[in-house]
Amino acid sequence: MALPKRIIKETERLMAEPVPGISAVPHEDNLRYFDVSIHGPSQSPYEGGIFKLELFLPEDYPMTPPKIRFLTKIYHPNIDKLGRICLDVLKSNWSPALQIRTILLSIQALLGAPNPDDPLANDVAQRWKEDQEAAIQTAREWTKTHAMT
Amino acid sequence: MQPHFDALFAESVRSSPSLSPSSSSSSLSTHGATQAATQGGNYDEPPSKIDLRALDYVTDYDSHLMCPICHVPFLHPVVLECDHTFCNSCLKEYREGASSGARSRCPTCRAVLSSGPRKASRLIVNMCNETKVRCPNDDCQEVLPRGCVEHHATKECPHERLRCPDPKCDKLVKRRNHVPAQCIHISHIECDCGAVIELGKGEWLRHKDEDCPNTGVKCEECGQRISASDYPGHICNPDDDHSCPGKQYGCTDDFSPEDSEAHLKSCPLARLAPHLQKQSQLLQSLQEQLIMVKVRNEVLENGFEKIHDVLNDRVLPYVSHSDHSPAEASDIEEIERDHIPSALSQRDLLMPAHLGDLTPSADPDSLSISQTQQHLLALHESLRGNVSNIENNISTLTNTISDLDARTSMQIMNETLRIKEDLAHTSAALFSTRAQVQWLMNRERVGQQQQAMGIRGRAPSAQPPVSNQAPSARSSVSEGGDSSGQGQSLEGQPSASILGSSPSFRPQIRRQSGGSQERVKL
Ligand SMILES: [Zn+2]
Ligand SMILES: [Zn+2]
Ligand SMILES: [Zn+2]
Ligand SMILES: [Zn+2]
Ligand SMILES: [Zn+2]
Ligand SMILES: [Zn+2]
Ligand SMILES: [Zn+2]
Repeated sequence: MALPKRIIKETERLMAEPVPGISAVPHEDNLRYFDVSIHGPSQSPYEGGIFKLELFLPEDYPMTPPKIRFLTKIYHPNIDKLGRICLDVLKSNWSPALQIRTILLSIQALLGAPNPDDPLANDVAQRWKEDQEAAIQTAREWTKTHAMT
Repeated sequence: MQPHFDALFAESVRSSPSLSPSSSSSSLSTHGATQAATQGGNYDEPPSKIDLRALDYVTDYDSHLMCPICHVPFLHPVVLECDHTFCNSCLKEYREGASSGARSRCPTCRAVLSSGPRKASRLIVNMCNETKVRCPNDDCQEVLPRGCVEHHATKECPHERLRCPDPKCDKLVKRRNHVPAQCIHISHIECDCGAVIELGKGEWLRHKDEDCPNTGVKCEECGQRISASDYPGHICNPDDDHSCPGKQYGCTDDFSPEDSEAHLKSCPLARLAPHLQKQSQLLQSLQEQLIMVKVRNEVLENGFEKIHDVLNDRVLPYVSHSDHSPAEASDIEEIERDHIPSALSQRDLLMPAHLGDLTPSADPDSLSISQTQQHLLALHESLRGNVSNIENNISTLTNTISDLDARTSMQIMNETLRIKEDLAHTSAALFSTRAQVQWLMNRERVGQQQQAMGIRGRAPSAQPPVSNQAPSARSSVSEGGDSSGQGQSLEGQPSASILGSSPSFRPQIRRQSGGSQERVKL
């Protein structure tokens, strides 16, 4: 189990100085696999919800981005049914200068600022554009049913 | 999306380094120097025999010296056009893996770059190479600047393991035991403590039993083998010795005691253990605080109960007695006016419903506990004020009572004195009466004797013997032993007791009525 220094240091820092509203805990048996939970940002339809995610650091991390997806169901134009996230920093815009904590921060920011013009879940994005009020209401209901237990 | 990128990158640049023990290897460490001078960056990176990123960085270093890609102080740093710095090898690895579009951008700020990287200033290089690291060789505790560690670890470290000079021997030998062109393994054995012991003389077993700091001595208490260097601080607990510090956090690896050092270097849980430990300590201290808060609550509750008791036992009785003691009526009325309403209100405050509910519950809601605590403290303060008022009043009452007491006892004293005086007068009168009676009786007796002598016809020259004979005559009379003599002697006693002023004599006299009559008279 040879873990690069960088992963150890990132994990240490995540434990020692956690980001407010975000927690990331490595699995005991696989230190590249993290259980993540993100609190829905205030002033957003996800406020009050706690969303569970899984994060995996691939073999060539940090040269390739971490793999991350939502485990909690969420109604969001940039997150699909399987929990996959459409976020440029997780794909083409990844940089090895980014870290687990910055990625989780940007996911939290994405909850606060949905971007229906760069959709992953097409039907959600469509609805978001046509009737934003109703879409936000649905997101709020989903948060209540799935992310508040 | 663009606006929050800046924040993200700012965050990533800010990220600070933290200390950790070294890891045995790093996936980032695969870099050679052969293609160092690429992309116009004319950088000559010498090959490294040891992985400088996996080293144990023992002191903190400036977070600005940390490479944003590998998170250790820059190794052969290069600077991009945008003024961002990276390790040469990190940047190279990034560019080799990246798509053609990303290749020409800075990993930190994504600025499009037209020229290749240049060498960072000597200052940066030196600062990075100054960071202190531990020698990576097993058993070596040397701490030295990173710039020197490679030379030390591969050229002079006594603990570095070298190949045996004999090409037929595949064993390793520590530098300190290395003899040029000679295999020591044929005639000697190298202990892992570094000692070289000649074979065939029983020295090896002796070394293992007595000298070797690694295998050490057997503890007489627990029978465990402890290294001689650890023996002074040894605590007899077989579980503690060779287990991974990450064990309680999930390290399930099994390893023999000899491998524990190697395991500690490779086990990530062992490295995270201090942090986890810190967290659990924090948790524990919070729990302790909670317990203390609970204890304080209990103390306060007890205080309330005591105050309640004081109010019930000491104040209310005073109040109910006020009718019967007219002397203290004014004081009592004051107490009544001052304290009965407050006593009532205190009783109302004493057992508010929420107080009984909150305090015994184990709910660790510290906020509500602290609120309750403050509430209780406030109550406690006000009750204490009232109680001290009451106590003041009680003490004035006590003063009055003691005044009265003093007055009464003065009166009694005066009375007694007068009676004593009267008594003294009476006894003086009695004494004088008795003296007169005696004198008269003596006179009569003398007269009778003279009469008797006159009857016998004796000369009155017997006057001197009279005084001498009178007692003897008396004694002869009493020695007669009849009831009249007894009665006479008893009659003489009061005078004797008055003269000797010792009433305790009386029973003694009575007991010795037979033989000691003379003593009484003397
Ligand atoms: Zn680097
Ligand atoms: Zn840059
Ligand atoms: Zn060394
Ligand atoms: Zn050899
Ligand atoms: Zn030895
Ligand atoms: Zn022992
Ligand atoms: Zn371990």
